[in-house]
Amino acid sequence: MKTLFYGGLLFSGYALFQGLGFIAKAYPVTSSGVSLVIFLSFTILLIFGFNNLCGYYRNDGYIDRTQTIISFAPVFALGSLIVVAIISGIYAAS
Amino acid sequence: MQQADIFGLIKWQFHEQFTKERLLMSGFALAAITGTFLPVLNPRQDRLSKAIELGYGFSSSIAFTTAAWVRQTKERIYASIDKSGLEITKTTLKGRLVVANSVEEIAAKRDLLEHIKKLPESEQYYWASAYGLQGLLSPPIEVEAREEGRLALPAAQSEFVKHSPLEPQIDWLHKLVGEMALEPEKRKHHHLCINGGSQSGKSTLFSCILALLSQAIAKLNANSKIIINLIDPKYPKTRWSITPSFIGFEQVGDGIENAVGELEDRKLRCIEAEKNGLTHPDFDRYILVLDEWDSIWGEGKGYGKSISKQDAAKIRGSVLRILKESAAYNMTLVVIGQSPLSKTSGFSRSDLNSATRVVLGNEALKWTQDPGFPFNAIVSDLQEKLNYWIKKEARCALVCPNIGQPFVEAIPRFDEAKESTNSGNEDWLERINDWISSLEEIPTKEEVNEFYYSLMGERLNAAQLKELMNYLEIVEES
Repeated sequence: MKTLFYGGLLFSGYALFQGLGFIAKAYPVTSSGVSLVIFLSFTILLIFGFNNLCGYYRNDGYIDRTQTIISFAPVFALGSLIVVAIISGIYAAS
Repeated sequence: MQQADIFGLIKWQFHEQFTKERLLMSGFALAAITGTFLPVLNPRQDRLSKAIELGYGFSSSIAFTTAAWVRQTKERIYASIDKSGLEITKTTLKGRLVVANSVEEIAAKRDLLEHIKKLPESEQYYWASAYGLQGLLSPPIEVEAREEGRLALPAAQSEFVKHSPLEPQIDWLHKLVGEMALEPEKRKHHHLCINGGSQSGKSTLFSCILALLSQAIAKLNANSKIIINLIDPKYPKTRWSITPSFIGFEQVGDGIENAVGELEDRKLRCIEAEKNGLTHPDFDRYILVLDEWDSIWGEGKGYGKSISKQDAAKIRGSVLRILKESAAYNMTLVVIGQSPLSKTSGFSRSDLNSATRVVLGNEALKWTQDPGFPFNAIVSDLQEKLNYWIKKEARCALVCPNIGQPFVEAIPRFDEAKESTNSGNEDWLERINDWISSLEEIPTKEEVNEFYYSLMGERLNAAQLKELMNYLEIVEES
């Protein structure tokens, strides 16, 4: 059930950013607000990356806190998904 | 079975809920995917429709995620229900197996019982108890109906005669004494340990054994002598057929020393004979009787001021030495005490290996209930027989020979017979005459003998019976 929950969460995120992309393109009045929300979202994601919130763990502790590429890997994946969602939203609105 | 069904029902109710939840989540997932991707796949729609579709997709997605979260929190409950169902099934199956086994066992016991019922009545009880079928078969203890036309003894007497026949009791005593009378190398029973509560008949039984032993030894060798060293700390409280050699607690040590001295002397004579190339001399039978052992030993503390702790230990050491060494020199030790338990008597099981143990009445029953009782395999059989006699208020003894199986036998009340004899010989003749005159017909020889037994506790032999019949002027019809 955990898989379904996380799957649902990811899909909801995707739908949210696609919706934001659509709104920004279809209703230009909202573009500044939407840009702000997207900017804030990316900032939060960046903070997550730096805090190594999604980093890999081993039984005896972290592999290496300073290995930024590894700690940022999930953030990159999530960021890509958001970018893809925004592009899809803009495409749907055009 | 009922429990399993209840759980089955609960499981079924939950199963319905599972299906509903699955359907709902599938619906949300489908709506979320359709609503989210329809505007992308089909962009030729007006803005409002697309916005509605996207909103619908997003809200469905949120609904799906929420449903998945709720489902996750219930996961543990579902798992425990599944586990309980499994346990119940396992228990039910085990229960069915036990029931099936019990049914088979009972059927087998009934089959066995059918075979046992075909055996002679006297053997039925033995085999029934050997196979644990006591509950299914009543012991053959019913008094046989007397033949018609013959006079029956009063019910109580008749029952006592039936259940405590004198012959078998004397038989085991004769056998025991017969073996005790043999030469040391042929003898199985070297020493005796008699235990029993107060007034259980210990001294009486020993007097009887002594009388029989004297007869048996005299029969084997008319010239042989018996030396009896009787130590009785509580004389004259106990009635003996002979006068004790050592009386009172103060003389116990002397009595034991006397026996140890005799043992040493016999040993020396044997050694000398061996040196001279001769065979061992024939010693007279020396019987050391130690009464009131429990009081002498006092659980290792001795008896008051008369026997100190050190004295008690010394006496015990000497007794053990006599137990272990004296048999070869024609010496017999008879220890008489109250409790057969090692804790009280101070003798371990191995100490009494060369002794035949006779435990009387309730003490025997207590001994069988003790975890240290050495014959656990047949304990239930022995207990049943003891209970039977105790219930009948008859004196009984558990005899554990040093070689062979233990057994339970009733013992006659020799002392009562003695008392009635002492009360006057004329008395019983009068009573027999009274009895005959109260009858409607002339009694048979056997009936007279039975009545004599009920009065005196012993039966007459053929010659005595003939004499009595002549005296009573009874002529039997041939």
